[in-house]
Amino acid sequence: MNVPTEHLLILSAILFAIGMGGFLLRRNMIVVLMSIELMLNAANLAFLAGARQHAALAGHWVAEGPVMVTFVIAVAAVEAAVGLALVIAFYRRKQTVSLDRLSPTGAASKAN
Amino acid sequence: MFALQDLHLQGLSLLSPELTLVTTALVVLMMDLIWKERDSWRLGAIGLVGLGAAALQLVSAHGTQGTAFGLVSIDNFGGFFKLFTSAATGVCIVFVMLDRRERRHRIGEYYFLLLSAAIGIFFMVGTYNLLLLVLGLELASLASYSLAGFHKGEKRSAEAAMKYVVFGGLSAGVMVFGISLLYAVTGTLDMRVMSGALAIDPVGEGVARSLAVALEQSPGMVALAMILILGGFSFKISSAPFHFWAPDVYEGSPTPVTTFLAVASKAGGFGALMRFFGVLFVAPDVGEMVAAYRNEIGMVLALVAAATMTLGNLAALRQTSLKRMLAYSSVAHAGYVLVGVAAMNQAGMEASLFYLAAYYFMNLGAFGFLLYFSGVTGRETLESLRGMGPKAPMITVPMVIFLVSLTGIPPMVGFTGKLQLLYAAMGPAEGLQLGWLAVCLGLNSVISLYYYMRVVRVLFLEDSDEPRPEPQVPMAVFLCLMAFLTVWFGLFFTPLLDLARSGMDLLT
Amino acid sequence: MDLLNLNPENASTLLSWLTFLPLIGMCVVLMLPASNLRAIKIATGLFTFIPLVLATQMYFGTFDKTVSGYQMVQHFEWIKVLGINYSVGVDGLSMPLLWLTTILFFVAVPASETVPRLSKSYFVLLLLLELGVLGVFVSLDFFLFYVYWEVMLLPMYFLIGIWGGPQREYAAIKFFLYTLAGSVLMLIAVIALRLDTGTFSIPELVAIGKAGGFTGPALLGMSFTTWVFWFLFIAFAIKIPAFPFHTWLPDAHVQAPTPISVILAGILLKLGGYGLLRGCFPIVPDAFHHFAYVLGVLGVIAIVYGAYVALGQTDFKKMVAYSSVSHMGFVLLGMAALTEWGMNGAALQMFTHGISSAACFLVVGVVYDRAHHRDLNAFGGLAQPMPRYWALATIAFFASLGLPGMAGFVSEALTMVGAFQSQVGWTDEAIASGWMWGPFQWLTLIATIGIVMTAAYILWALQRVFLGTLNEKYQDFKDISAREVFSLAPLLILCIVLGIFPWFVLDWMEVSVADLMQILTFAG
Repeated sequence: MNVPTEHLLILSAILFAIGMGGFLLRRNMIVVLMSIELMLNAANLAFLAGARQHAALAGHWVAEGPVMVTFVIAVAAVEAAVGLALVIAFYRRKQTVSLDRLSPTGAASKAN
Repeated sequence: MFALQDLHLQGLSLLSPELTLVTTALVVLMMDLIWKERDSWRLGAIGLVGLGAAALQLVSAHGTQGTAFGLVSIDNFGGFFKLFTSAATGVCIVFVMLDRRERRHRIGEYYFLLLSAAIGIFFMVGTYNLLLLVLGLELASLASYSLAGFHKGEKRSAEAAMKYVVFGGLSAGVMVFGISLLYAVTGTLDMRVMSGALAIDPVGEGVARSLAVALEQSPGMVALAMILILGGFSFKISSAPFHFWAPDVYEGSPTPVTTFLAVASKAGGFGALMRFFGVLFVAPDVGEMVAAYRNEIGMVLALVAAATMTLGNLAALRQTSLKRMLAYSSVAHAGYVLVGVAAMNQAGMEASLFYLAAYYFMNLGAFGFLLYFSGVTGRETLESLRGMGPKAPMITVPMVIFLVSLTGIPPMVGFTGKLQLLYAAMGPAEGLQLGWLAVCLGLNSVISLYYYMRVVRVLFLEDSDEPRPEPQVPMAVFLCLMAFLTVWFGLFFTPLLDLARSGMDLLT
Repeated sequence: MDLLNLNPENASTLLSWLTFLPLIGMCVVLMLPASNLRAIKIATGLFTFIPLVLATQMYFGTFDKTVSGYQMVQHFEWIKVLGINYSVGVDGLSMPLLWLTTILFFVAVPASETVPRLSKSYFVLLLLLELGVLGVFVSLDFFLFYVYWEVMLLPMYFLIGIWGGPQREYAAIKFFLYTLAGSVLMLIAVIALRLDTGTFSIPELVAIGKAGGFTGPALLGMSFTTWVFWFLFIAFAIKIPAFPFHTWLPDAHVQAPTPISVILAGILLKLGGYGLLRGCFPIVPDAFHHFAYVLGVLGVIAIVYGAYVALGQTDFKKMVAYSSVSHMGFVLLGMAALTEWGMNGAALQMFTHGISSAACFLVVGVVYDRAHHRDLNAFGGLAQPMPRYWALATIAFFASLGLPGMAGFVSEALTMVGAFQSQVGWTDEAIASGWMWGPFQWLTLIATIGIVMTAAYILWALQRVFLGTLNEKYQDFKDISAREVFSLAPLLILCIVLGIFPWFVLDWMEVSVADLMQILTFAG
């Protein structure tokens, strides 16, 4: 119980940075989706850290932070479900889950 | 904590537009399972009736102030965006019904997803609570991901959905992390508590601090949180630096979905963004500390606006596909709307609302034109429009009006919108000089003229032997109506001004 | 409000009728079947003729040239929330140009006969263009002014872009981009003025400017009025077109069909000069004073440079186009001189150049319709098969050249005298020492080079086209037809009449020019 709030926040920032790094560097769509989950969970940690500090100040817990965390977990799950469904649809067409097989962002399409 | 008596009927009656939409969406889903039709116009009609009913309730609730369940705020500002969303979603449903390419598909889910996205936007623009804002935003986004990939057999559509979900997920992560930091420093998720407008924490007896206090204690955290949250919004409104997904997704999605993303979804993003920054920084009683911070936020927004419009317009210059060009144009227009927000005052917010209303008419018209021609020719290139101008004047002449309006030339509504924005950017400011932004906006209009006029050139100035396109009367009627309104509101825009002004109850 | 002279006997809906008659005509033409081109032409002719009759009646009847201020004023609130009014009226500066507009549009209809691919939309756009032009001349509210100003763009884009020459698309978009760039500057200046003073009304802005009532902030070391002045000046200078913003003009002229060239040279260019007199100089007179010599220099550069480039042209139409650049330089020089003579000369030059350049373009159109090229060096001896055409062409070009007894002479002479009298840039010591010489005296001297070159290129062109040995190919050219004479005649008659009786325009402008000079010199 003696972990200071700052440390929790720093940990969550590190998690967020790892998620961001994974998003930017990895080409596997499933890993990319996992990175996004990591970023959301970093946010959850920060929410709980904040909630704990405010609880300590107020002398009792306030529901807001933990409620937010539950919802974010749910959102993350739904996002993963939709994301994975799309990955499967993509895999059926291309037999790969690599983002490199997407046509590059920003390229003008002359194909059509 | 909620008391049970909060759940009484008054809260529900305030939520009647949302409830109507939820019911409609469910009915559509059920009837789809019962009727099992392809290309069912009946389902579309149900959706339209539901949206119409919601819109009527919104109009009749105009001027009502209230809070349902401590989370959903009913005000004119939210009403504006909800009305906008239902009107835009209605047009998208009509587009689905008119889209010749959709004849092959079971499209019940299509309507259901459109309605769900609309419900998401309703909650996103109608709340001061960041939790509900995130939930609404996610509902809208999740429905949009599926919509973007609706033609799952098509390569472009599948890719568009994939990109959309990846970048959408990233922006959600960024935004939620930003909100978590803001929560950590303020101890509340309610924007009004942060702004100090609500003294008592409505959720509980917590130790919420206002943003002013938080700014004093940990300015770095607040700045980081603001930038992250802005990044999240930036994705939704497709502004720089998170605009690069937009052209690919817009191009790959079915055209009615593109329309939804470019009009309804973008406006929803603006609604949430304007509420967030409006309440936290622009409202009259924010206090000295926050007011000092306001100019920095305004400058960041102004830079984002300038970058967005310039990048969007420059990229649009090079496009050979009409759809992709309209996608970049809609990025540029996000930049224009942001000019009003960047002014960080009431006049600016009003101008942004006005411009969004103008954007509704001209952009829906332009996308209707795109839908018609891609249905006729099966292609979306500018080339395929060659010489079509005189062959289908009821479709192409309105398109000229939309393009002129998008450029911002009078007497079209796009011009009056830009006038308001310039007005806001050049208006009296306390320490925030945005005159350069006005010049930037003007120059961008000139750049945009070039690519908008390219469409006109291909349509009217070049010849081809292509046969006369097969007419589609409902689309022609729709386009002529939109064109008429584009001109009418360009000349007599007092109603739109009043509408935008009434939305400013946000700041009182 | 009294600035608008709003007493009941002064109020009138005549100007609104005049402005919106082309719109009614447009609706009528739209309802006619596209296959019946003859009926469309007749309807367009009718709906350009009625405004001509109305404007002539106003010019010689309703308009009281002895009264200062605006006449036939109509004023009501349009967009109340933003303080935008529908406010129209004419004074001595706009009345002659209004009349000229109706003349030229009427003339343009028969001249359109030979335009290739002629269709209903051509006439619809022509009428829409007339609406825009007339609207600009009558607007007394900057917002309204701007709306009409932009209404002209789209029809002009299509008229050049669809019915123009081989490079029409390039010329059309260049015209559009240049003008829109200028318009954006104008819009920014107008909004700045509105934010500063709370009004869009031009007379009110003039009154505030006269009282030195602008309080806007200085930016980047330039005062508010300086910014406003340059933004407005560039917007209008693009339209004139003044050097160095003139490069769109030769392209637009060469590619445009004959009647559109006529309107472009005859009227659209005058909008720039008119805009300066109505919406730029009187609003920020002190800045105008300060930069008058710059404007004079730009004017003289245009005079000399335009004439020099015209001298080198082998394309008949391009030569006339550059001659427009040169002649419009006189307008700028005359205005910048800040003398009554110069200002009268500039205002008259707008009118006379409107007639003579329109006539020149019609003349070029006649030969182009027969030869289908405009290469000056390929013609020769056309006076033999076409003697009547030769006679009429000579009148038109001599009027443009400024031969005494022709319209151009009076206005250019007035301008030169006015510029020579100018005291702009005179230092106190110089005046004390009796050395009556300053920048404008030099400029006037330089401008005479332009006049000499003008004579050279016009005479040389006439010689190459009409004299010399007749090219075999051209010996069975038919002489000018009745229809072509019908278009040319009113303009040529005006060229001669105004050469002999210039007060048919000068008298109308006199009071307003005096008022304007009073505002401009008062500020100095």
